[in-house]
Amino acid sequence: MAILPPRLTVKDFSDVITEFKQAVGSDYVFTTDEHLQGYRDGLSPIFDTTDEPLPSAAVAPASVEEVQQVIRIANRYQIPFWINSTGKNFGYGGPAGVVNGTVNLDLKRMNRILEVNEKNAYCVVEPGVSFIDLYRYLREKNIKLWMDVPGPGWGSLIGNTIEYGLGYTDQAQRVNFLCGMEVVLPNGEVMRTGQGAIPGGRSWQHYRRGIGPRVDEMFCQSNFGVVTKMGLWLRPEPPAYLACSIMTDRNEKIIPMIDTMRPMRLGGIINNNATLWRYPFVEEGQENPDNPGGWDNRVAFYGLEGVVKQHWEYVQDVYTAAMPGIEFASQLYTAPYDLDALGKSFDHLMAGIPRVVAGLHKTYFSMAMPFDGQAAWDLIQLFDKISKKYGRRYFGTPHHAETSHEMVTTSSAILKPGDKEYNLTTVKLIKDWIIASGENGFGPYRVATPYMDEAMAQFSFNNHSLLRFYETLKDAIDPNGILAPGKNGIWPKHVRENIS
Amino acid sequence: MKRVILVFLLNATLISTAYSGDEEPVNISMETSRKNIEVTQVSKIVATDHAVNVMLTGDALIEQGRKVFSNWCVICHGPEESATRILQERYKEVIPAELTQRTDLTPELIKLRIRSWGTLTMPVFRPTEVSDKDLEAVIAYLINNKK
Repeated sequence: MAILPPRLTVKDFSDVITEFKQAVGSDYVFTTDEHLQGYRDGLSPIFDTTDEPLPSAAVAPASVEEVQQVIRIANRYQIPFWINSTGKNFGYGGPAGVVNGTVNLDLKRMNRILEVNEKNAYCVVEPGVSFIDLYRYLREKNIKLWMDVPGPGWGSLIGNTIEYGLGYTDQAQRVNFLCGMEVVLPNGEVMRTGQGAIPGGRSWQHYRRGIGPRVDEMFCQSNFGVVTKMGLWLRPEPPAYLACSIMTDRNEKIIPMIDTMRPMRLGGIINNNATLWRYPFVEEGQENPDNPGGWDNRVAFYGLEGVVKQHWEYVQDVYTAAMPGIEFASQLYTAPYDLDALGKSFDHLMAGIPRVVAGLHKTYFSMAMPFDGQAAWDLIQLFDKISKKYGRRYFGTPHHAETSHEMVTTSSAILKPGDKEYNLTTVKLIKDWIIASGENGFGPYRVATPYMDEAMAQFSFNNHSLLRFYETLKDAIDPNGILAPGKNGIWPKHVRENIS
Repeated sequence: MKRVILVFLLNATLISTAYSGDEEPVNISMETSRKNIEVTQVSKIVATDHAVNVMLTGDALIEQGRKVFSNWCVICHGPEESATRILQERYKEVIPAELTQRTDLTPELIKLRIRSWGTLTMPVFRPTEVSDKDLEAVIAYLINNKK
């Protein structure tokens, strides 16, 4: 590979590779063109353009001690790492970094499920463990715990959770069920959070804090450390699971649909991430502009059979009163479950059964908003207005009732394989969307790597005091700027000084 | 801000963005049980590594390839799964949609699909996911398995 990390000579880089090999074994340091293809993001809109940041090498430690060693080496040579757990963050950047010449710190070999505690319903995993890995393990061992999964199940439990990935169950905002971390800090030191900081602590995966500030989210969407262990609460298999659909036929009916759902989500009648999907389903970009279709609100109830049925009857009554003519469908599942059969239907997602659906040609810039129908409609209208300037249209993407108080929309734009001009125009369009959303009081909650600076720029209150606080932390924790420079717009001091 | 930073870094570090496409020589040795999951169901964390290296050939190589296929490929390329459905649409039954039914696959094509970005549908698999040895095994499985 003919790419070097920033500021390094060929000789230094050669020495670094030798040291990496001594740390993790020569089989797990990758420098050939063939091997480095997997550390690029082939699903990026800037793939194969001059803007694409390319990896200089990849190093794959198998243990915490090896992570410490390679971080200490990186500090000596001031090498930037980009961290990936399973490398499947597609649509948001995949395994690839922001900076050209980044060395990819590939944690896939750290793939142990360290503990599954059925009694207290939690697990402890390493970063290389995917949702599919944990699911297969639970089923093989007949452990009656359910988990929350994102759409594609090949991602990392740790990676997806600390990137604020969401699922579709009643544990959908998964970061809120994170309990206890182990982190290798940028100086190579190992730290455990919460009750895990007590040697032999018995409450690490039970109580989420210690004394003083809870710091776990400092390591979410950040570049302040390498998370090497994470505890995650799971849920016991419910006696009954009722998967429901509430369907409307017009796009603008998203307004009453969200407003009708809100009091029931706030009041605990609806407890899952009741996502609104396009209905009838059409691929993005394929909508009929005269009638792009309506919405399918997917609601799930977990609990005693009689109770879930009663909740569903109440929900139908409320929707029918608010939106006459609205349509319903439901399917009841009861224990013992035939989960393999259930996994073939759409109902698998709300039961936490991971699958992978091919067709990844999208780039994401996901937005947060109030739990409010008009707010959702305003955002759709804003994005559509900007899209028209580019000869495109935007009719809305899935809206997630992630918690009782907010919604997020996993906003995306399609990409055309091999059409660089179309895809680069998509980048411009998305940056316009992000800037316009900030001007209208909306902010992104998760974006792909090409838009991270624009996303952070929207959080500009008091001359970007929030970003300046992040930079103060970054400079103190990672003075050499080795961990994920540019992640979500947080750059180390030497880069900021060079551009100023 | 982003544009300025990228220009600076590109100037400082970019020697060449060209990929040669050179391929490494085939190595038929392989490791089994790459899946190093160790689990306890009580509250003590156990950390062990079960990686072993074993030379495999013939039926043993094909059997390892079957395991690799089951672990990595079948979630999309299994019966009725998403990639199978896409290939069904693409090939209109002229060519079987399930990879295990194909008789026209070559080692070069399988390797290309696993190691190179060529389509916006299937991602590349990194050597920490499908090692070079496992790649040879899955090639052996798809070329030699009983159709």
